[in-house]
Amino acid sequence: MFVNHQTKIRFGQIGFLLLLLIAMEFVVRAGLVSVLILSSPSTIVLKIWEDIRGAELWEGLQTTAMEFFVAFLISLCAGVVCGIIFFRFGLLRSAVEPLLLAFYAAPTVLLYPVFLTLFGLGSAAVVGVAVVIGSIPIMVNISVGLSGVEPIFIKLGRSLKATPWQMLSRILLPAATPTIFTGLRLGFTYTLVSVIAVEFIIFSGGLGKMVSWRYFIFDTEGIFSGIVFITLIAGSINSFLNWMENLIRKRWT
Amino acid sequence: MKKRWITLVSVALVSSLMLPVGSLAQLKPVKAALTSKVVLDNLPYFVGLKMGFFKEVGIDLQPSYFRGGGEVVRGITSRATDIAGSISPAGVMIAISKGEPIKIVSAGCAPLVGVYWVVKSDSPLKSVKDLKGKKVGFSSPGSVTHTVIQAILKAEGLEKDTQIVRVGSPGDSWAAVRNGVVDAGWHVSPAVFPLVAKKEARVIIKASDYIKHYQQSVVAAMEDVIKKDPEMIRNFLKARAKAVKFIYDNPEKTASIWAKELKLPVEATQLAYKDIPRGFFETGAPAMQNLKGSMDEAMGAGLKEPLDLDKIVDLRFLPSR
Repeated sequence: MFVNHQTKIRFGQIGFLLLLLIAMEFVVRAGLVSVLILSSPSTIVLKIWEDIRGAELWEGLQTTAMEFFVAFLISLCAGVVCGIIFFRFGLLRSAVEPLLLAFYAAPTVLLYPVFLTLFGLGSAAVVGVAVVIGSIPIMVNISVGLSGVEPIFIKLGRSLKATPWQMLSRILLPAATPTIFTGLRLGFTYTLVSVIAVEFIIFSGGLGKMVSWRYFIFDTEGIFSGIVFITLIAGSINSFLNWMENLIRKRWT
Repeated sequence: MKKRWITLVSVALVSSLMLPVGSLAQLKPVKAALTSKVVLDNLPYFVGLKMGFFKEVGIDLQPSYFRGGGEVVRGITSRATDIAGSISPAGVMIAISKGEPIKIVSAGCAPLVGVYWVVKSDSPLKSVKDLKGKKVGFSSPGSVTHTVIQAILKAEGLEKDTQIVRVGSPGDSWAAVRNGVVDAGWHVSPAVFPLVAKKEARVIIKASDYIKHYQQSVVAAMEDVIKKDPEMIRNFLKARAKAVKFIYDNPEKTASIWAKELKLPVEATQLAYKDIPRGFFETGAPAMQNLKGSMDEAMGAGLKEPLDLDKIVDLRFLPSR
């Protein structure tokens, strides 16, 4: 029977995951690893089911989702506006970009006490930190992407007497799509990680607080249950971004 | 050849006689997990280290300070440390309920002393009743401050009206109060006294006014460590007991050691010393009544079923035995 390459990869992925889960089950049940460090997949599944039927998960998910979407929307708007400004004014970009990249490489999440003081303990502080961290890759990638468009495309636009809006929407943005979407993915990832991390640290609410609480009361299967849900959310949104990117590429190419 | 061997052996013998005696009897390094450094419970270890009581019993004590609550428990369950010198019994009980083989080997401190909640000195809040609708800080989930503040609010009927907020260490807690993140934050003796003396902070809750039967901390170790090295446990408790006796017999020297260790003015530690009741630092078995008080609080913080308290202690190594 002929099995194509994609199917082989799928089988490989499933097989690897199954082996990992079996190994985890074995090491925990055999007492090779403390239950305070790792839980067996079977107990994690039971905890996931308990969480689905309970209120704590959904309340946490509601808070985290709200914080993430608000933070990502603000990051997107700020990132697009600043990215276009940096593209338009090269001198400004040259002056600011190295500072932004240095800031980006630093553990910016440690700025949370500043936001706690500014906004108090709550979702506003979480969103504040996430916006600072999530907007930088978006603005940098938009500016780099637009600046990297082939000069021939720009000449074509000028020769056709395109307006600035037409230039941006019909030539520059479509040409810079791969780089822009890389920035969007990074912005999305960093925004989500920042939201969960700050919730974990300041114990304000959401899935981060739920995992933090479970860490302190040694509810290891609860921690992993939380991680599974966070991973599913991240995977779902990433798939959505994939779909959007493919749609936009098909429309513009 | 024979002459060479005689020369070598003679040199070795003479060299060993010239070595300082201590080098022959090496100190055993013992890593101790302790709660946040500023907490009163650690005073016997400051004194024991400074006065050499641990060295006398052959222990090179290496303290590791954790943020409190479950962090100290993880310090021993991860085998990063050998013994927990000041650990919350509630945290121990929750870990035991999860299957961790921990034993309580001695009482630590009881009842609840040296834990306060403070507000800014110009705050309109005067008593715990004024905390209705406000935010109150505790250190970390599962910690003494967490379980105690819940008990205090429940006693005053405020558990639904007051939000408790994790703030971390006493320093972080005071920063949270100053910046308005919380209305009242936890603090400890003696570090709180300079703030009160400078009229920056005012005590609004003294935990010991509310909680009478409570085991603030115990000494604990993993069962395999106890089995492998019972002498270490015995010597550790012996040195700690000597330090406790020193604390009660030498107030001035104790306050001085305490101040140097925490980098505080000695006036603050002298004031804090006066606040310590006789019998606060324990060296015997934890009273079951106090352990039961801790277990009741643990039930609200992750302990699903009560434990048989007789089975979680191993008191063979107490200094009195």
